[in-house]
Amino acid sequence: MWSASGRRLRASSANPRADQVKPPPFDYAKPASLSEALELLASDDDAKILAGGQSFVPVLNFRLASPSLLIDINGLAELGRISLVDGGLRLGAIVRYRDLEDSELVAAENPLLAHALHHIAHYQIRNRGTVGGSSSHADPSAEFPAVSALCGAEYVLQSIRGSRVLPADEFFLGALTTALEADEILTEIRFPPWPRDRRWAFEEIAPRLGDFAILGAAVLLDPGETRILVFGAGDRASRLPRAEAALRGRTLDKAAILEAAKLASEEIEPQGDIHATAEYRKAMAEVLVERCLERASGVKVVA
Amino acid sequence: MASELDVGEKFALDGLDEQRHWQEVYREIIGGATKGSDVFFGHSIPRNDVLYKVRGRAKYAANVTMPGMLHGVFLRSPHPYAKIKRVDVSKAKTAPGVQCVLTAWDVREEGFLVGSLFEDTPVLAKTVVRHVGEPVVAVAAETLAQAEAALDLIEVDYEPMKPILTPQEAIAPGAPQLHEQGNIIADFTKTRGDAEAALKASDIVVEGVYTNDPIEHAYLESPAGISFWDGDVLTLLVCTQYPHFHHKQLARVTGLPMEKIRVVQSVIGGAFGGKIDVTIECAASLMTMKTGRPVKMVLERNEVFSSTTKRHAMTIRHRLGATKDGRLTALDMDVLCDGGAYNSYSLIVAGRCIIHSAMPYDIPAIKTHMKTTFTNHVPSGAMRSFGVIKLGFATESQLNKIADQLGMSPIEIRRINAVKSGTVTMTGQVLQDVGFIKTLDALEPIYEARRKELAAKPQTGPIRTGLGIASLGYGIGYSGVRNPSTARIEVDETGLVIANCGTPDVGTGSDMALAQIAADAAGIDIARIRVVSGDSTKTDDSGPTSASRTTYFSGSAARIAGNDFNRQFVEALAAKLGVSKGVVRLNDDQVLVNNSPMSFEEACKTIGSATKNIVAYGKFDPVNQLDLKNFEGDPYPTYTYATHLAEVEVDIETGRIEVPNYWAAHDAGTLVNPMGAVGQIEGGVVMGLGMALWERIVRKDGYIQNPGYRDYLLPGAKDTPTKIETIFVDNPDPTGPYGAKGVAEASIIPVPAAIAAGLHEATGVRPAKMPMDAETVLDLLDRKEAAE
Ligand SMILES: Cc1cc2nc3c(=O)[nH]c(=O)nc-3n(C[C@H](O)[C@H](O)[C@H](O)COP(=O)(O)OP(=O)(O)OC[C@H]3O[C@@H](n4cnc5c(N)ncnc54)[C@H](O)[C@@H]3O)c2cc1C
Repeated sequence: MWSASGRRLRASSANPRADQVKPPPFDYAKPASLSEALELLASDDDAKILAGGQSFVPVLNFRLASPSLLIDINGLAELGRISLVDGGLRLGAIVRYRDLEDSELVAAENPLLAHALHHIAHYQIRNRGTVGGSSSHADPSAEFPAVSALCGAEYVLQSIRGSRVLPADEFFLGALTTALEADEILTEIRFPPWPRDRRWAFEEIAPRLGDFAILGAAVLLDPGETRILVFGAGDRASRLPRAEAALRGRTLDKAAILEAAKLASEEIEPQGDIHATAEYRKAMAEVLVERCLERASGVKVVA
Repeated sequence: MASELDVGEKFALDGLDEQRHWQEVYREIIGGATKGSDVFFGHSIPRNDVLYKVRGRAKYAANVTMPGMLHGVFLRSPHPYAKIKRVDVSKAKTAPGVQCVLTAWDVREEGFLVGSLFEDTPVLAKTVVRHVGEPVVAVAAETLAQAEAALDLIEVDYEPMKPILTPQEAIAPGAPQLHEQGNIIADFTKTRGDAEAALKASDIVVEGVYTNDPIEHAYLESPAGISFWDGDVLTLLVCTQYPHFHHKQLARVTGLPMEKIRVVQSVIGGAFGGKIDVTIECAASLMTMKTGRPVKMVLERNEVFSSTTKRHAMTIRHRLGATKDGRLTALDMDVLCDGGAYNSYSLIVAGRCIIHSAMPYDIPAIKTHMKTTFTNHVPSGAMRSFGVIKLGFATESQLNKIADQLGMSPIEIRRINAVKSGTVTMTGQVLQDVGFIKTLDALEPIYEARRKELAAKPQTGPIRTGLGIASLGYGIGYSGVRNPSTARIEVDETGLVIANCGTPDVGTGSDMALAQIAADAAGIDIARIRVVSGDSTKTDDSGPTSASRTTYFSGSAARIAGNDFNRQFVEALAAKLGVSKGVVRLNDDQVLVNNSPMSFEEACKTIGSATKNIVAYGKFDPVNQLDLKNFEGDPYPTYTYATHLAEVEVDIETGRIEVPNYWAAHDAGTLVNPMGAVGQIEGGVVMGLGMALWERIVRKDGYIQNPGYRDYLLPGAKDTPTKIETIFVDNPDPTGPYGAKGVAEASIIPVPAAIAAGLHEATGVRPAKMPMDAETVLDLLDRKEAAE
């Protein structure tokens, strides 16, 4: 029913039975090119991007948002590529989790990402959800933004005004908040090259398999540098400077691991909610950071 | 519409035409399932409703549309407890598309209060609201959006009052009284012997306080229905467990005579006790009467959470005594229970809990007390096992404690104390044909073998493994009252056989089971039989489909009716042919007249219009009487028993539990349909797992904090055990149809206790609160560590 051209379909004609569906009425367009999408986005202050729809459609169905126009970017093949540029993985914004799971390039060039994918929701959702959608939605418990932040990925944002590139920690501003301006589209996420001798680990605890994390942790061990990150503990995934500092220049032994894990728990200030108290999240930060460091380093902490 | 309803066609979206083809498909499936056998009973025949359901073609009430249909919605109370000062609907009445705005003042005095056991619940609140989500105004409009928009135009002035949020508050001196009857719904005590003295004399006494959070039935389909005039008959198509109840109630609410009302059950997407009370029935019907037009109402999921009944939250204080050789001596149990704002089924839950205090054990001295109070929470009501799952959690956990302290096997201690045939229960009933010990015998070798396997595995890292055992004994049917079921079987000249059965199929496949029983008893092919159930004008009131009673009660009625059909059919044919009835037989779908065969169709044609006179009738009405004051008597005609074994894995650093393997041994009598029975057990296990590990309604100040499936956590496919093995022990019940009895409901009961026991074996901690979510378990582990 909806054309693949950028023609804007009016709510009334697009959906004569608007009353019988859950979302509020909206116009719809499916542009054929990125420039067309950017034009449309700039032309309407209340327009929103539709990617996999796995976060946004529920928002619409609960009528928590009523955009004037939905710009469906699922047809923009140029945003769907997985590639390697200058040794670093590049993911177009509409690359789906499922594409990542199937990609040998991802398995080789970012095994941490490949692993973390399995914690994201259920396969039905991974079939649709996109890396750009997850990043733009910026749920503090989401896995993809956490991995990108830990790896130091860069975010490419485009608008008719031009383009800019932001590091992850400038892109993610808070819970469900990013640096994206109303007329910008996130087009690409660029990972730095993955060092061959890097070791890594990822752990998460969720109420049920596939739920958003109550708390998650990930570490990267590079010669001379250990990076530690937790997510689900604050308004965005963040690295833990004190825990990282405690390991700087130190051999990763049992004592060091235990100390860093303890610091990790101390330096976060999580919120309590219906699924876990703040205290539980703090306790889990210690457990999961310890497990990550143990796994990545091969040092046995618990017999 | 009307003509389809006449033949009880409730499955396919496009009605009879669509069904015909599938009936053919289905005939082949039945043929395959029963190949080489001349009976239908005992075979795994797939249910015919799944043909429609898996294709997405089932006609749920929400899918039904009718010409001129209006959409109805409720305005609900935003307060847990408040006086209503003023309701002004004038703006809503003139809003676009609005055809009817219904308030309490539009409901006739005699029909103002409704309710399942007691008429205490206003159709729409008038002077006071007693829980958040209570309906205050109903609106019907041309479109759903118009109806919803009109809600915003209604002005209600409330004077909020301080709500009562716990049963403790409800019974505190000076507490405001929520109803004329006071704050007490039930206050039951039963004693047998001198429990206090027996506890004193016991070698060992264990104590515990067991609690649970309220939970949601979590049926897939929200309550929905459509009311309309079919000629001059007010007709209601609704997903319910009990059409006859609504029929009678609507007569009172509307003032129409009984014969001008008809309630038909639509295809139903789960119930579990949650579709037995009033939701949309009265409001929709009254709005149809006011407007003359069909009115459809479908609850939103957040309304389901905020306004439909919940499983009771209970606090159970429990003391259990035993001799040092493991013989139980005494039980002292005291239960305080949150009944919510209205009666619903709280009284029945309390009665059943009292009766089941000791089940399935023979305990010589008992003192059991249960008090249920009103609060300003959404009403608590009927839910799978009527409260017994919480008793099971307490009693089974206590028994496991004793076994551990005595160094006894959990199977052995149950064997020593098990009720047996001839055991006299606390109410004085002499039990018959008890298969409980058979369930222990069936599980014991599995338990022992698995123990050895697990012991051989080194326990390293943070994962600990344990096995847990728990059992159940559960009465079939209503507690201590006569609750007859009936069935009527008719045939027409073409050979179509209609079995009108009183209890509706609520998605369990009971129509199939009844067809199997009726076909065997009548001596005809099951494919001929169309079961019509859940139509208040087609069948006698046979009670609701609940309390595990359909197979046993309605099945027995179907068997009697089937036998009666066979007799009447033979007589009618003999009369028509002018032969003696002794030379006519109907068996295996074959008619023999003087030993020469005749097809069933031919025989029906021969009987001709006299087929109208064949009205076979079966009634099953066991004499069960219980003095509800002293709890003396025979509350149930029979009981079902089971023992479950859970294998539990615990991460001792996070508190997270997984249940990789599960075994369930059941005494369900002879199985009518093994495939259906296994499905019921597996469903019960998973539902119990949900209650054990995740599910809880979180409330704050009378408001539900998680009114949706994002935050109300149900187990999903990935969270269920990799293996659930169901074992049925061989134990026919001579009082049931072909030896069968109920099975469905009870399978949930032992699950939390079995998991708690596995957790204990794995880690040494004993949870006394449901759900045992990761944080709760970690807390217990931390406290144990701190204490050591
Ligand atoms: C049941 C369920 C469980 C889930 N569990 C998890 C989980 O465990 N972990 C997890 O990480 N996620 C989970 N999710 C969310 C899922 O990962 C979503 O796919 C993801 O958050 C959003 O991606 P999307 O492509 O579907 O985006 P959409 O829903 O289409 O869009 C999300 C938001 O981003 C904006 N947007 C999308 N793309 C762009 C772009 N290129 N530029 C600018 N703005 C854009 C949209 O306008 C919208 O505001 C779950 C979802 C569901 C339904």
